[in-house]
Amino acid sequence: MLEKSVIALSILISYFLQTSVSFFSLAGVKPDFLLILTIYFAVFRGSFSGLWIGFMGGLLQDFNLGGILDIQSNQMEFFTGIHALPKALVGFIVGKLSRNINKESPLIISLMLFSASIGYGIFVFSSINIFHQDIAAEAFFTKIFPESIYNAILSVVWMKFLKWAMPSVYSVTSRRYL
Amino acid sequence: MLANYLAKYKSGISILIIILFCSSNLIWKSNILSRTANKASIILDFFSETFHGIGEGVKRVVGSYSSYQNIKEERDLLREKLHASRELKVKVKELQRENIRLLQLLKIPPVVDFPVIQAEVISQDPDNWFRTIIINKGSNDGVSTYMPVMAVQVKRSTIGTHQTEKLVQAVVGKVIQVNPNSSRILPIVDKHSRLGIRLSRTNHWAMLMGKNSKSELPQLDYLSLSVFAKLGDEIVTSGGEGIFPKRLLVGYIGKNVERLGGFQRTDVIPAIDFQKLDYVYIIKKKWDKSKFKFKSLTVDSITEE
Repeated sequence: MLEKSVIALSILISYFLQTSVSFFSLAGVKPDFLLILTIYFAVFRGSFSGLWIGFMGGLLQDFNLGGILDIQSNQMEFFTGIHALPKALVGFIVGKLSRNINKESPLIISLMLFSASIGYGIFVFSSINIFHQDIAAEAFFTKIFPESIYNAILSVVWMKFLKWAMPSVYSVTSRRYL
Repeated sequence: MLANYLAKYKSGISILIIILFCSSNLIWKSNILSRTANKASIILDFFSETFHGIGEGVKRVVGSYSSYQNIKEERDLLREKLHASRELKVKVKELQRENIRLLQLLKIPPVVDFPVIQAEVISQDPDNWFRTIIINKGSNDGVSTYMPVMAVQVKRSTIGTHQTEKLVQAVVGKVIQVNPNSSRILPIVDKHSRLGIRLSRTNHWAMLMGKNSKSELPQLDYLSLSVFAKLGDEIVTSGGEGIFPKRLLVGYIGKNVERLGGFQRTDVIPAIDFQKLDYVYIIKKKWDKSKFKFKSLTVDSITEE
C-alpha cells in the first residue's frame, strides 16, 4: 500500500514538475519527467509497471490539455489518450527490451531513454496527425530531437535521484537478478 | 481458473484495455467518459496552483542563496555591512518585482471599455506539442468561456549602447474552459487557435491561424494579394468574430511571405513572449453568439422580399 502511494506521489510530482514549474525549460524545450519516470520503472521493474505508469502519467497530461469547443456541433472535444497511449506502449516496449541490458551503466540508460523519447515523439506526432491536425515534419528537429537529447542528459542525474528516492524499485530488480 | 488466466496474461489484457480505452477516446472525442474524466482537471488545477506556489518559493530561495553566495565573498572586507546589505538586496528585489507589476497595471491604457481581472499563470504547456495555459481565476471570479485574455510585458531593445524599455500590451488568447477556481486559455500560438485580425497600416482583414505548416510561428492567412505586407507591420484584432474588442495588438508580420491563389500567407511574430508569461488579465466581455445565428436562406424568403 505504502509503495503504491509512493508511486502515485512520484507520478504526481513528475506531472507538476512538468506543468507548473518553468525553470527546467531550456530554449523553449521542456524535459518529459513523466517519460523518464516511466522508463525508470520499465527498466527496473519490468514492462508491466512501465505500461501502467506510462498510462497513468500520460492520462494526467491529457487531462491538463482540457478540451476545445467544436462550434459546429457545440460539443467539447477532448484529447484523452494522445499522451496516455504512446507513453504506455513505450513503457511496455522498453520494459521488454531492457531485460538483458546492464542497468548499472548510466550511458546505456541514457541511450535507452534517448531512443524511447524518439519513439515516443514519433508516436505522439502520428497520433496528433491522425486524430487532430497535421503538424509539419520539421517538428522532428524542433521538438522530438531536442527533447530526446534533453531527456537523455537529464536522465543521468534524474535516474540517480529516483534510485535514491525510491530504493525499493531498484532493490527489487537487484534481487531479481541476483 | 479465471484468476490464473488473468494472472498469466495480465500484460496482454492490460495492453488491450489501454489500447481500447485510448483509441475509443481518440476517435469519439466528446464521449461521456472523456467528459467525466476531464472533470478531474478541477482537482489537478488545485494541486497545480499549490505546486506552482512551492516552485516559486524554491525559486526565491535559490535566488536568495545565489545572492548570499556573492555577498559571502565580500564578507571579510565588509562583515558588518553584510547582513544589512543582504536584507536590503532581497527587499529591493522584492520591491522591484512588485514595482514592475504595479507599473504594468497602472500603465495599462484603457484600450477596452470592459472591466478586467488579473490572474496568475499556474500551469503552462504540459509538453512540447500543445500550448495550454491554466490561470488561477475561474467562474467564482466571473470568468466565462470565450473571454479575451491579454497580458502586459516589458520589451527591452538595444539601439547602439542605449537600452530602451517599452510596455507592450497584447492579446494572449481566449478562455476555453472554466472551472470554479481556474480556467484554461487557448493561446494564439496553439494550432487550434483562429483569430480575426486586420493589418493596422492598411486596415485589410485576414485570419491568424495558430497552425503553421512551415514554422513554429503562427500564420496569417487570407490576406489580400493587393496588400504589400512589410516585415514588422503591426497586426491588431478585427473584432469580427465578436470575441475580441477591435484594435488590440496581436503581433507583427514576420519574414516568410507566400502567395497562395488569390491570397497571401505570412509568418507572424506574436507581441507577447509566451515563455515569460507570469500574469495575464481577462477582459470581462461575453461573446454574443446570437449575432452570428443567421436564418437559413430559403426560396420562400427570397420571393417574399
